[in-house]
This record gives sequence, structure tokens and C-alpha cells, in this order.
Amino acid sequence: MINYKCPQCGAYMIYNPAKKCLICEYCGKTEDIKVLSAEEQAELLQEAEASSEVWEETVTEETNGEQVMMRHYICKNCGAEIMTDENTAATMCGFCGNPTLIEDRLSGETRPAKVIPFSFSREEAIEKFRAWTKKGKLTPSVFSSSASLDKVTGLYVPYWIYDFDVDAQMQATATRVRHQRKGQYEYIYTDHFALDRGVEVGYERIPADASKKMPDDVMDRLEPFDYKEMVAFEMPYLSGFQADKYDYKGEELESRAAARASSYAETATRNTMNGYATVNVVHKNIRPKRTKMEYTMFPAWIVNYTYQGKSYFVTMNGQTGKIVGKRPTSVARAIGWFAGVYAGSFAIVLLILAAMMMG
Amino acid sequence: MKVGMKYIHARPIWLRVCMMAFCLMLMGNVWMTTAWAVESLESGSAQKVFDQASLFTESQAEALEERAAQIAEEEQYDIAIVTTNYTGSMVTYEYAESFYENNGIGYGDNKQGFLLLIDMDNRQVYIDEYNAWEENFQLSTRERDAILDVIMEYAYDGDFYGVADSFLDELPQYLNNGISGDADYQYAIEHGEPGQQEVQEPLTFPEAVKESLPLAALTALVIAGITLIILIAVQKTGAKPSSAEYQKGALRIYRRNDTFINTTVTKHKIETSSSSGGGGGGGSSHHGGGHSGGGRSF
Repeated sequence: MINYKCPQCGAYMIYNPAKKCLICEYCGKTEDIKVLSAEEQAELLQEAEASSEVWEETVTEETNGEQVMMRHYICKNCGAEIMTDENTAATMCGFCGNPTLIEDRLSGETRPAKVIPFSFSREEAIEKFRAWTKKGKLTPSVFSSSASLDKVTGLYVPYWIYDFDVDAQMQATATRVRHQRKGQYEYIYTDHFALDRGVEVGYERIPADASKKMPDDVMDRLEPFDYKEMVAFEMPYLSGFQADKYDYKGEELESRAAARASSYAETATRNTMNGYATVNVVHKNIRPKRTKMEYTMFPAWIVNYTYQGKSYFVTMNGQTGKIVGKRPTSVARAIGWFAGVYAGSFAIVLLILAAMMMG
Repeated sequence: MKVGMKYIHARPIWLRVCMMAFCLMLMGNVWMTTAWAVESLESGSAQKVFDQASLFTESQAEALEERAAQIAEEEQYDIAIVTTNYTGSMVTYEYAESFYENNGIGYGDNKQGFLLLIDMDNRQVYIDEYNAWEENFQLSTRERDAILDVIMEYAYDGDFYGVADSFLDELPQYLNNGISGDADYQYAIEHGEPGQQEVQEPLTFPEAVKESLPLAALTALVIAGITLIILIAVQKTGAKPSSAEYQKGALRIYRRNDTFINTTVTKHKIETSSSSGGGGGGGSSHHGGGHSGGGRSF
């Protein structure tokens, strides 16, 4: 287990998104993220392993009845038991809040190549959430005030990102239509064409989330991430946050990402067939080839809230702040809007039509 | 003639000569009258009313003759009113068209004009229009239907003079006030009928409002519905990114062939199309060159 201790006062240090470094919450001391060499990394791992007290046991998960391997660690700060599931790579002690990294889930094969660090703090995340609850013309006015935050969790989600070179071949039939009037007859000329295309196009860093428990649909909608802020992975970024290692290996998710690349390439190729009245694709052969694959971690905030007695959650992109979720719809407001728009447009359209009839 | 010949035998020569001369004159008269009727003068055919079914009294026929002639003179299109008890093997519109062509009806070089046929054989009233390329003389289907609406009332009552008389009332109105144009001919196929406006008195404001109510209600419903759908959709946030996000550089099109195969052609004859209006069937005409028309049964 790895913990980052403040050299000045001994309290624990966590990653600060605004300052982009480790900060001690107690005395304010900052420490830059050090890029460790391979040897330094190995040393760190050895130390961590030696000092950890850990035992494993198999437990049946309550939520979906699956057999899960749970691991128990002893918190180095307060001695309490930290429970983690088989994928937890970073967590906090439930009792003293000590941010803890589990090194053997962040090393070797399971060490990410890159990471996008959180770009704003928990307070800002809460602010963004509050702003989100206020928006929407059909949102009940009480939603913003009565939605109570239960938990705001900063989580690094494991992703694999892929580069593809796609070769797309497409054949289609197309027509162009011309009209000509000669005397009493109208002639319609239809020119028939055979279209053939061979296109090469590359896609880079198409992400696929590697966490079983995070729904793919939600994760896809969190995109896009700004890769300009993606940096080489170092463990301190994770301090103070939850993190999970991947459930699926890169090869397992490749087909999902390849399907995306293929569909992008197909659309792009189809769009080169222009200038025709109709186009009918008769044959296509899209072949994606993976040229690069990297394991990364991307930041997300999971905001759990209660509204009118029920629990909901939204997911927020920890870098861009984009929120994926659904606001409740107030029936009263919906009716109000419908009636209002109806009345207004009825009056306007009526006047316009009457004027047209008279004119 | 045979009767006449009997008397020529028995009479003196001067009487024979007189009788033969008289016969010749009769024949000549008939021939001349026919020729005169057939000849298409600048002002259209000399005779306007051809009451073969004897539906009109003499004075009625005269009145119609005068009016038709006057309209033809003023408006520069010919009008013929024809009644018949028997169309033979022809259907109503064929009879009307062939009558028009065979009896020298038509004004000017174009021979443009209108023919109203009261067909007692097939029990149809038919309005035929010929060669009305001039802007003023085009009757749209809607206008023809409007005229039929008015004149058929008389037909249902058996008042055939009324049919002809009201026809002479209605026709000039539509031709003078209707709006027509090339648009009719260009897209007659696609749109099915030339888009001419009906002549109406301008509406007052309250009337216009009442007319517009149902359409306004429907439109407002659609607008409000669409707005609601959009507002509900906005409640769910988080849209998937577009492909442009991940594309690396530009497409490289290494093979691009657009090969011409062949051309297929379809041909449509453009005519002011005709169809029977509401209330009862009727003939429709796409026959011969330059004819168009429509009719209704009674």
C-alpha cells in the first residue's frame, strides 16, 4: 500500500486539481508530482509490499450475487480495516480518510500508460451539479433546493484507447435527374452511374471503458475527453480519489472500439459520394486495423442524490464537467409550457392566415 | 327529285326549265349555307347554337345565338352550344371534340373556343376547350368545376335553356378574372392540375378569421407538440461525440470512380389535366390535340 505523507507535518497529502500537485490539507505544504524512473518505481513497489498487511477472502457480492474476491488491508494511519474489491486500485480509509493506493494493481501489466487528472475540485463539482439542477424549462422548481447530496465520489475509471487505420471500400449505384420540355411533352432523363470508392482514414484514441460495473452507455456519453491534458501516469494523481483497475483486457474491448472506427469510416466514405439525386450502397468492405492500444485512467465524479425519497445519480466528466444524467420533469410545467406555446402560436398563425386570405 | 321528274315529263318546256332551275337553286342554297356555316371566319363560326335535340324554343335559341355571338366578338374566343340526342359510337367527350373540329368552330388562326354540349343520349353536360394557349382563355379544372356547379342545377331540373344561358353568364367571368400562367403547363404532370385561383369576393376580417380557425388550431398543436418534445429531450443531458473528434488527419481517397452506365427517359404529355369535380361522375378528356374539358352526368 502506498500513502503520500507530508514531509512537514506527517499528515496525508492528496492531489489538488487546481494546483496540479500534491497538497497537505493540514499544513498546506505542496509537492510536485515526481516522474519516477523505472528503478525508482521498482523500489517504491518493494517498500510498499513489505509494509502491507493484507489478506484475501472470497465474498458473495450483495448486489448481483456474483462471487467476488475481496481484500482486506490494515490502514497504516489508524489501523482500521480497509475493504477493497478485486479491482480497487485507489481508495480512502473509511475511518480516517487516509488516501491509499494499492500498488500491485497499478504495476506491471496493470500500470496505466496515461492518465487525465481531475481538473477541478470536489467543491466545484458540487457547484456544477447544483447549476445543472437549476437548468431545464421543465425541471420542477423544488428540484434544485430539495435534491440533497448524499455522496460525491471522485473516481478514476479505467479505459483502453485505440488507434485504428481503416480501409473502406464501397460500391454504389447513383442517379442524376434532368428535366426538359419540348412542346407538349416533358422529358425526364435519368442518368445512371456506378460509384466506386477506396478510402483510407485513421482514427486515434477511441476510448472504451474497461470497468464492468460502470454502464457503457453512460461512459460513452461522458466523452469527449480533451487529450491535450493527458499525461504520463504517475501514482500521486490518484491520491485522494477512488480508482479501479480494468476488468477487461485491451484485446477484449478492441472489437467495440473497432466497430466505432468502422462506422465512422463508413459514414465518411459514404459522404464522398455527392452530387447525385439518389445513392444506393450495394456493397461495402470496411476493415479496421488496430495500430495502437493504451491503458489509461479518466476522471469522473459520481454524484448520488436523493429527490422526493428516491435515490438517483449523475455522472460528471471530471475534466470537462459534462454531466450525463436526466433531470426530473414537472408535469405541471410541461402542461404550462404546452398551453402557453399553443395559445401564442395559435394567435399568431391565425392572424397570419387571416391576413393571407384577405390579401 | 323523282317526284319532280314526273311533272317535267308532262309539262311544257318553259316549266321544265323553271323547275330545274329552281331545284338547282335549292341545292345551291343548301350548299352555300353549309359552306358558310363551316367556314371559320375571323369571328368564329357563324352559327353558335346547334340545337339538334330541340331542347330550346326558337326564341330561346335566338337569344342564345345573339349572346354567344356577342361574347365571341368581344372576347375573341368562339362559343358553341350543342345539344344532341344521339352520339352514336362516340362517348360524350369524343362527340364534343369531333363536333368542334368538324363544324368550323373556333376563333382566329388558333381556332380557340369553348363548346358546351348537352348530351341527352349519355345524359351528360360537357364543357370542351380547344387550343386555349392564350393566357386569358385557360380554364383550370377548378374553374370548370365551378361553372359546372352552377349550370348543372338547371340540368337536374330539366331546364336545358337554363344550362346554356347560365353557361354564357359564367364563362366570361372566369376567363376575365381568373389568374393563369405558364406554371400550369410546366408542372401539370406533377401537380395534377394547373394552379389557378378561383375568383372570390375579398373576405372581411371576421370571415377570414373564421376560415382560418381549424388550420391555425392544427398548426398551433403541432408547434406546441414539437416544443414539448424538445423540452423533454433537453432534460436528459450528455450527448455522444461526433466522429470528427477522433479522426486523425484527412481522408485519403485512393480510388474514386464514377462510371456512367446509361440514361433512361420517360415522356409525359403535358396538358391542362381534367377530372370531374364532386357530385357525380363525368368524362375527362385527353383526346386529340389541344382539347381539354370536363363534364358531369345528370
